[in-house]
Amino acid sequence: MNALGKALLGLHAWGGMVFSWLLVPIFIAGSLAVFEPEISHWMRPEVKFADFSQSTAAMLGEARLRQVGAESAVWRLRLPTERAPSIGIGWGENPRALQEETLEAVSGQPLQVRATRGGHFFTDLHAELLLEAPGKWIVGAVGIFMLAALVSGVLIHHRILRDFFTLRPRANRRRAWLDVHNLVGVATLPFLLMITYTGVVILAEAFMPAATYALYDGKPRANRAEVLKTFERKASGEAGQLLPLAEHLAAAERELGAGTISNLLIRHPADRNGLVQAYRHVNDRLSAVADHVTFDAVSGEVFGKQVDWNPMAYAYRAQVGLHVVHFGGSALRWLYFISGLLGAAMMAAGTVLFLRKRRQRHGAGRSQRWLEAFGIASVSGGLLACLGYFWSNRLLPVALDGRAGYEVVAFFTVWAAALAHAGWRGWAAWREQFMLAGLLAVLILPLDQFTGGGPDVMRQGFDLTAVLLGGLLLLIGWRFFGGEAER
Amino acid sequence: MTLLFIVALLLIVAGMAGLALGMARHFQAVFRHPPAAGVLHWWRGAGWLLLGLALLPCVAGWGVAIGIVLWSGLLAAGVIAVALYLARDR
Amino acid sequence: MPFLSADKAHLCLRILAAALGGYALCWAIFYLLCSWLPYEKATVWYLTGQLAPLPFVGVLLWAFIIPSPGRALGWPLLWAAAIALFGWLA
Repeated sequence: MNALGKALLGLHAWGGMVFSWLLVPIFIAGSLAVFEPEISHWMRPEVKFADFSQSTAAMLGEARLRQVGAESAVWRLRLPTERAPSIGIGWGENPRALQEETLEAVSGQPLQVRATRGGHFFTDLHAELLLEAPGKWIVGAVGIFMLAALVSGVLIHHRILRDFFTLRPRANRRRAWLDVHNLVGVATLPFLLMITYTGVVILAEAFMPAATYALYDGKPRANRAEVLKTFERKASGEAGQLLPLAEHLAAAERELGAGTISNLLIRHPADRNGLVQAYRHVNDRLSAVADHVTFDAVSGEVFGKQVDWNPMAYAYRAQVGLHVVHFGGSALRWLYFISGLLGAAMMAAGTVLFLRKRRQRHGAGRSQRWLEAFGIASVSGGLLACLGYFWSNRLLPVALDGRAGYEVVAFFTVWAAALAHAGWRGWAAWREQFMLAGLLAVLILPLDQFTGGGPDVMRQGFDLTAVLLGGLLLLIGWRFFGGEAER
Repeated sequence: MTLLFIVALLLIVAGMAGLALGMARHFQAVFRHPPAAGVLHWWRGAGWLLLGLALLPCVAGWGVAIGIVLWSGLLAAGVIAVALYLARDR
Repeated sequence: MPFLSADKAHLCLRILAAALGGYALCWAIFYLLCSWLPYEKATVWYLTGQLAPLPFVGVLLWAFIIPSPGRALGWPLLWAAAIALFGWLA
């Protein structure tokens, strides 16, 4: 190998292993985040899936808002969808800090929903490691390295084209792991490049504010204000009679398309100058931009409407859309979910490859044990932590104070325990942790049967997926890490 | 939608199988004899053609933009499915 | 044995070059684009946002390919300064 190849190999192998400690959990969390609403639904068994009608839901939401927030300056109404079959309402003075409540989609009754961060936990973990701004810097840096690792990987694994479609499970272990790493890497390369690039683009807004400083004196979100038309006006102080929200919803569907409205925002609901703003969903377009229309709350006349966008902003939001995959329905969601997990598997195989080689060369010294412990904890430990999060959701008492926080504590406790276990057991921990994770995933099904409060289509889908993935984890633990005592 | 998805997936797996059979090593593994001169080109051509055809159901069901994303994502499924089949054979 | 061997010092220098050089170069390029492109402010903002990963990845790879770690840090900073100067003059 020439000097260039050697330099790239060092970067790819060492950097890949160290950064995979974060990248693998980020990829696992990101894959789960694709199904954020479904996971949130599973974690709130108080919400039942039911046949709902959006216009009835608008009526029910409005009735409840009149009860609890008649004096509020802002109302928000999230309509039920097939992925989130409940009504969400919010009321208060500041649209960014509303008091919130969840209503049953058919009866409109307020639901006593257990406190949980639900699927959104995975989105936060994926995008910012639950650390907000500093987390965005870290994930951004990790993403940039990932792009470099992909480029260097294509260059150093120069046999990938000759070895296309090649898997040799019965060849020697090193060969088999290398085949998995190369094959999965090549197969998902377009996806990995796309998802990583767009992910860094999304985070760049936080860690690279050069353009914001050069153009807007460092004021964040000023760019958004420039492309997003807001139709607002001051309250008049005179009372006005709000037209029923169901009528506004019907009008909005005429403007933006039947069955496409996801949210209503009502400003000054009891005032003559009140406004009702309806947002369109983005499920049928690449670009994550929500067309919107605003009506005079009293007369129902169109006050303003935005369906055309700055083309460059539209292109930028297409990159956001490509990353968050709200488009394309379940086919695309499953594709992203599986591709993301395959990406994590590719990195895990690379880590195994590197650690095996290093152990053969340098023996099992203390540094080797540490590296192995971190590698194991990031892959199978991360899976165990996710499962611990799901299990704690069902095992913690429903009325516990600070419940949502304890679920997160459960996640990190399991993760720390997995790290300790990996440090203690060494290479055997791979197998033990994969087997345990597989078992916990399969047992999600009985767990849900006993704690889920009755059958529910969406939760059954979750259980079935958990059983299948659990079976896969057991298989990996058995076949890939079996019969390989220490090395 | 489901039907279009299945058609697209089958076309992509078939296309990837064509590309694999266009490589001497995999051709030999499947047919148990070395490829005749020039025959690999035909397999590769058929593979690319099928991969191209798979774009049609994707675009028909999901529109141009989303269809292309779906198509390129399915390529990974095709590669892995064919590789797993060939690994069984070995 | 010294606390920092020559190899480790070089590695630190390269990591510094990748992080600092990439950041400086990206900032300079965005500054140049913002002062030079004759489009609406929002258009320029959303254009730069889509380009952000490129300078970082370029400098990162460069910092580990180039034999001399001093140059790995020096060149990106020099380029960043030159580009920023251009942007200031534009």
